[in-house]
Amino acid sequence: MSTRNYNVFFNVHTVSGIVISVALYIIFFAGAFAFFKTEIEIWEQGEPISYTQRNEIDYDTIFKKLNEDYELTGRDIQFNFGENTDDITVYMLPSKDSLASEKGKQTNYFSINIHSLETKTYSEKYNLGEFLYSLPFFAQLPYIGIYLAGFVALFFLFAIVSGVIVHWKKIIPNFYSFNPKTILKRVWTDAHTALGIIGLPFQFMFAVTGAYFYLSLLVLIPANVLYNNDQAKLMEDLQPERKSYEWITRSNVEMLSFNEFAENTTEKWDDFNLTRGHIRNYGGTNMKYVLIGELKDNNRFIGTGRVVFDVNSQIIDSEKGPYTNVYTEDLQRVFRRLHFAEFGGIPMKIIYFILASLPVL
Amino acid sequence: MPANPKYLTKSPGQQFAKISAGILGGYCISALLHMCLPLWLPYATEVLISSMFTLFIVWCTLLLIPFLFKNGWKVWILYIAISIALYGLYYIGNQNNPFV
Repeated sequence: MSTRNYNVFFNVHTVSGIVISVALYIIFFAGAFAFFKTEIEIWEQGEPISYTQRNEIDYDTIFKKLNEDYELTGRDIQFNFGENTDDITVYMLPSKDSLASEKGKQTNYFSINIHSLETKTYSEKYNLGEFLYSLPFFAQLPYIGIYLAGFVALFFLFAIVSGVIVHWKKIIPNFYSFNPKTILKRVWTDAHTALGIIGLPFQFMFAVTGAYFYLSLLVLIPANVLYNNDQAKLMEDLQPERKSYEWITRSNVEMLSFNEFAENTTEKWDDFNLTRGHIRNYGGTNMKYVLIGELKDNNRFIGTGRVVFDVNSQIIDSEKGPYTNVYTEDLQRVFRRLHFAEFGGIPMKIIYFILASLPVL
Repeated sequence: MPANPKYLTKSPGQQFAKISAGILGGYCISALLHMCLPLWLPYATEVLISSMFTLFIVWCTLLLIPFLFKNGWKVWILYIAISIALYGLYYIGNQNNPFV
């Protein structure tokens, strides 16, 4: 590499590093603690949790309660079951039925306790865990925060690549000569290269997945052009479980109990745990139950499964088993797993915590 | 030891040209490239999904390249030329678009 190029790379590495440093410090520092979001939440609530298996939750009672309070007919409803908590989150879209009342035409987002059926809105439930979780993508800054975080991720990637080019020759010698006991002055320069290279694959992964999460809009723009602006079809190909169906009319057929559906779905595959559920067109002629789950991560790194059930005709529309991987769907799951340390349990979260603290140094 | 300033670009115009070429031009090329790839390669949907991360890696590389040039406006010309070429490829490939 010529001297000129070396100095140019050195400068872009320094400048891009300094520009993003404050934001990156916040992101990694808050993010390191956010790996323990659920634990922090449970600790802050201070109430014992019941460790209810997700297939043993009494969904029918919950739906009955929600139907009384929010009028579900004609709505699309999403449930995130979480893992151990007693609160599941519910997101419901306005009713597509023209006969729906004012109450049924509102979007709602809240959590509901599976035992007491008590609902809490986002702001009522807001806690330290949620704060730490939303800080890395600057959710506190409306609209621009998430893109700001996305560009920080992109420039972080830029700094990593230029950093590897600049420090290439020093990486191995500095790694061996790294010794905090020697002169304190040299610790930081040595540590920058040595610690930098230990955390490099980890940081590269975070830069790429971070850009994926927060700048996905920039990927969707070219994809949308390819689909000739047919966003519904694009989303269906990207996330088939989110497919929505047209509302036709109300149906009088007795609905199959969701509890029974949850039980049947869980029994289909060994070691299958439910993670999310959707109900499409509640109370309509083409009402669908969708249940998504996955294998425990010690069984298989990526094992997502899904069943779509047509309530009126009582048949299964489509099904994906957790033991067969589909690249298009599971790639996105890989990103989530890597980014949020959703594998390997607490030991992996501790390793993530340490690695995420390294750039803070 | 900071970089030796004698090798660095000093004029703000040149700096602007290089940074803007990297960010805007780099994105244009990266986006167009990822529009061409699914059209010209087999497994269109899989290739498209992969663009979720390859787009950023390509963009990052294109962000770095302008700094190697002495004249930032030449980078703009180069990037625009590549964009036009890629758009041409996209236009031809789009005749039998597998997604529509």
